[in-house]
Amino acid sequence: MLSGRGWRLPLLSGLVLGGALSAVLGGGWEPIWALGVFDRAIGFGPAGKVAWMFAGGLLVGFGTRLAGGCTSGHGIFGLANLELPSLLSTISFMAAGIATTQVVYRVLFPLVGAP
Amino acid sequence: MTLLYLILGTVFGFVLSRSGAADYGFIQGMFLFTEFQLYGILAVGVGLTAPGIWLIKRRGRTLFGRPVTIELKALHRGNVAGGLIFGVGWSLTGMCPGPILVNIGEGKVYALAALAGALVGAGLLGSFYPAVQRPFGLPPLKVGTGEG
Repeated sequence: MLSGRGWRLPLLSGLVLGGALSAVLGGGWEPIWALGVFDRAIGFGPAGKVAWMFAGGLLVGFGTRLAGGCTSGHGIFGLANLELPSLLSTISFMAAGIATTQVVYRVLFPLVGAP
Repeated sequence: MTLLYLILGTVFGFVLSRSGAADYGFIQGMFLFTEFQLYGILAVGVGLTAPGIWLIKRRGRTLFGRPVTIELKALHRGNVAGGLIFGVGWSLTGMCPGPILVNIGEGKVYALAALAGALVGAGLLGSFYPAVQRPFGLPPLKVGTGEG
């Protein structure tokens, strides 16, 4: 069996590197504060955006641990392995995501144009 | 081996970035049904992973010859409850766990706040594990192994 520590940190570091590489090859890396549709429709300032992201992150961290996996663990790997817990979890997070975005961008902060 | 995992992570991060899976606008568009690319990405991911898993199970060893078993995930009430909580967070941040790191790599400064939140959120579940374990029927807490 692979030990947990040997591959996790390199893999996670790679995710950061891959994002940076994508930005560099796609026209140059630079720090970005702008957030397209969020800025247009919701338009909180920097502090509000940080608070929004922190609050959402809390739910992501807590929820994925409680569910036992995320989009890749349940959504891709678990579904591909035909596991029932993954089907239930995937249906749940897709439904909650759809409901939340519909409420945020069609009810609370209606969009003028498409995102 | 460390380098191999770093490279695999980099490829995964690059693909997540270019597929739109780490893009706030694409995520909102997916949930608003105005943008269907990510549904396709998910379907292709599942479609390519399924035969890969089937082959690994049949062979029972890694490419380097070490034995490998694929553990099934535990079925419990947390699958649905946690999925619902995660889904709300995914919509709010436009990031699932992997893409939080991809966004940071891309230079999105606000993704650092999402990472801080996710670490605190995961820590909170750990702190309250004894309290939520019985009501949700969770397996014993495993630290640092097994889950994706």
